[in-house]
Amino acid sequence: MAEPSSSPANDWQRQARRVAFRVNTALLLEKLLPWLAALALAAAATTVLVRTMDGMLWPVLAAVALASIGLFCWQMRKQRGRFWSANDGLVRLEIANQLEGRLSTAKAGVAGWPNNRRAEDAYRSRWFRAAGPLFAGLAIWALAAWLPLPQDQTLTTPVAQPLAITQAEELLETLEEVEELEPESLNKFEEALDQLKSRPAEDWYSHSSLEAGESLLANMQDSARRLADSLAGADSALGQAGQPSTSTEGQAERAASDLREALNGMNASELRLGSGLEQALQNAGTPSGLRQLSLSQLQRLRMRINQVGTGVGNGLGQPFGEGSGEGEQGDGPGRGEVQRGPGTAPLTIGERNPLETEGVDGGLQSDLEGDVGIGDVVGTRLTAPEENEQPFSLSQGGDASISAAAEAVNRQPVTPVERRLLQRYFQ
Amino acid sequence: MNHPAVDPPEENEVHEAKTVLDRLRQQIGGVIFGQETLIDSVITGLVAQGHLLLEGLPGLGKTELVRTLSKALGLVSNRVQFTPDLLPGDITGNPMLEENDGRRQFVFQRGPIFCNILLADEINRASPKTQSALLEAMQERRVTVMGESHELPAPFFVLATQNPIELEGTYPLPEAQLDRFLFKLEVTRNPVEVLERIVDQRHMGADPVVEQVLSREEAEHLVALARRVYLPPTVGNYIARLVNATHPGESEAASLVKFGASPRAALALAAASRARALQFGRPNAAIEDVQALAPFVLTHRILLEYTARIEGVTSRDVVGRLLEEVSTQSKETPKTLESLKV
Repeated sequence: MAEPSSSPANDWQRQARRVAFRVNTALLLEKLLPWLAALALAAAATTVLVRTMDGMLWPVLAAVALASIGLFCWQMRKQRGRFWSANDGLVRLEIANQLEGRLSTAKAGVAGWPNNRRAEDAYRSRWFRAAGPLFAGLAIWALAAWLPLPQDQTLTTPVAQPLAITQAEELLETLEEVEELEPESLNKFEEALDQLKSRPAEDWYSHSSLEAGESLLANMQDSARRLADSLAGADSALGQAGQPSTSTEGQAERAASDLREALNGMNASELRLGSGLEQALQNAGTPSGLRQLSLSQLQRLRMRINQVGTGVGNGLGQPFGEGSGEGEQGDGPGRGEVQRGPGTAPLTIGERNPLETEGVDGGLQSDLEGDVGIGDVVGTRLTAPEENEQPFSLSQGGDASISAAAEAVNRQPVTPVERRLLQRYFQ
Repeated sequence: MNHPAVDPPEENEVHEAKTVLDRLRQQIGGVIFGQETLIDSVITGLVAQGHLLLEGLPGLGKTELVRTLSKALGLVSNRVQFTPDLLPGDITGNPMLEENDGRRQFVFQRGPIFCNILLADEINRASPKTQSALLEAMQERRVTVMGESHELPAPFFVLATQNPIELEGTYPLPEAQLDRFLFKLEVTRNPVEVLERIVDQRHMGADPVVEQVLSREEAEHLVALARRVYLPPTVGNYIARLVNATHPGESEAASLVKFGASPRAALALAAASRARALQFGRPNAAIEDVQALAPFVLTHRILLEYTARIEGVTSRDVVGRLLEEVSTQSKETPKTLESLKV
């Protein structure tokens, strides 16, 4: 039976439907919002990732919208059985308004509808309880979209170039300041260095780049060291030639020989001297050429050598004339190099080369020649070997130290008594 | 639209019934002072055709209530004081050997149970055998002696009392018999104002004057009318969920319950709700009726665990918690919607 739209029945049923809609909306949102909050968190993480990769954000938004729709449909389907009907809304209205079942009764046709047409459902929404996680998720998403991120460049590009390249640059700059070096030989290193520096910055610290840089640096240092050593040898030879005692033919020949040997060492280095200095040294490389040089010419030549040597030595970080020894720069533990430990190289006393100095304790003269022996350099004395009567224990490793180092004798793993016994046996 | 299975009462019928019941309430209220809730519950129980168990201290007017009720209704009432040596035949009646015209035969001598309102005073003092003599009478409203059944007069109500003190030498009613009582009502002591009124208006040994409000036929008509009161499906659903929730595991409130209420409890609750609706002049029962009557209907039907007694939890506490826990709505209410107190 159709009832007029303004009848109490219609009013009550409209209100009942409104109550049911409100409850169903609350029920749906209560179940849906936690999922949406989780989706917002996932979207925040995705947004950060996309921004890091310089990607577009609109696909994220589209995916979130699609996922939201999917979640909505899924929850609608899942919660359908729990949704309130209009009858449930009527029951709520009659409970909330103390109508004592009159609405249900009226709907069943047992009694008439109540005349008071306005009623409250007596529900108070507590949306923050359900929407709180969603708001938190949205806030995190907004932060993920708004917070400035570090740029890719700074993330992927190293700030400083490798140490080997820097050191090679410094060495090259130092060598370029030396006037008597051939520019072409330096250009070769410069080109190699430029080639390394021109590689993409993100590849600076790749294995191959690091290896190439360290190889170039080692090559430059080796060449410079070889040149410095040769220059030191040449300087020493010229110094011998300038001594008044070098009057004999043999001594002049020896000095010329040393000079030639130093010239050969220079030729072996990739760093070449300027043509003027190299030619002067070539001319002095014979006894006759050496004799033709006056003392002042020798002094000037040595001065030029010293300038070059000092410049190269500055680049290497060692004073000119000091031997490189075994512990060369660039070697060290873990690099396969035999280490002799700290201190000066053998045959050096303090910071000075014994072959060119005035001597130590007055016992070493500057006219010492190349066949000088150890005994000429360090003080020794001959004594009769003394037998150590103390039994030697093998458990000490056969290398037990004794108190007087100068009185050292060769230690035997047997005592004298045992040795005499062995001798008697083998006789 | 759900149509009721039986013809619901018309508005004028409901109105007349309410008028009569109001008069009955006034008559009883003129004798029993300060027990309005008890009087309403007794009237509800009678209209629902249920038996009532009254529990209270001596001297609170339990017997007076029953006597007044029988006078107001114009019904025959008997009073039986239950004692430990009371035999079933003392209540139901005994076959007596009679000689008539030279022939001896057993003739059934009716006991005090053959009345409209039986006041079983201190029912828990009788032995279980005697108590069980009432089972058939209360449920089927008849008595069977020596294989012969005797119908009880209609209407038939048992109003039993039991004393919560002096429990030594008593026999607690078995659950089967408790289940046959529609209500268990507690008769509480009167406040000072009521006592003062009793002292002023009543005299020791003088019976109060009670007018008959209803005839027996009118009482039967009221009972029949109550059965026609419309019980909406939502109310029936609420009763079912409430009774189901009394069982352990079905609700949090029933965690201390050993045995819950029976289906008879659900029927009793529905019948009582209908009667209460009629008493309040409504053609339909409502959830409010169920909530008002549930403590009287369910309390004596719930058997608690021993731990509940240790914790001091009573059946009435459990029913109160059940009423708070079981929602009036058959479907889930979202937690984001807070129900305001109405």
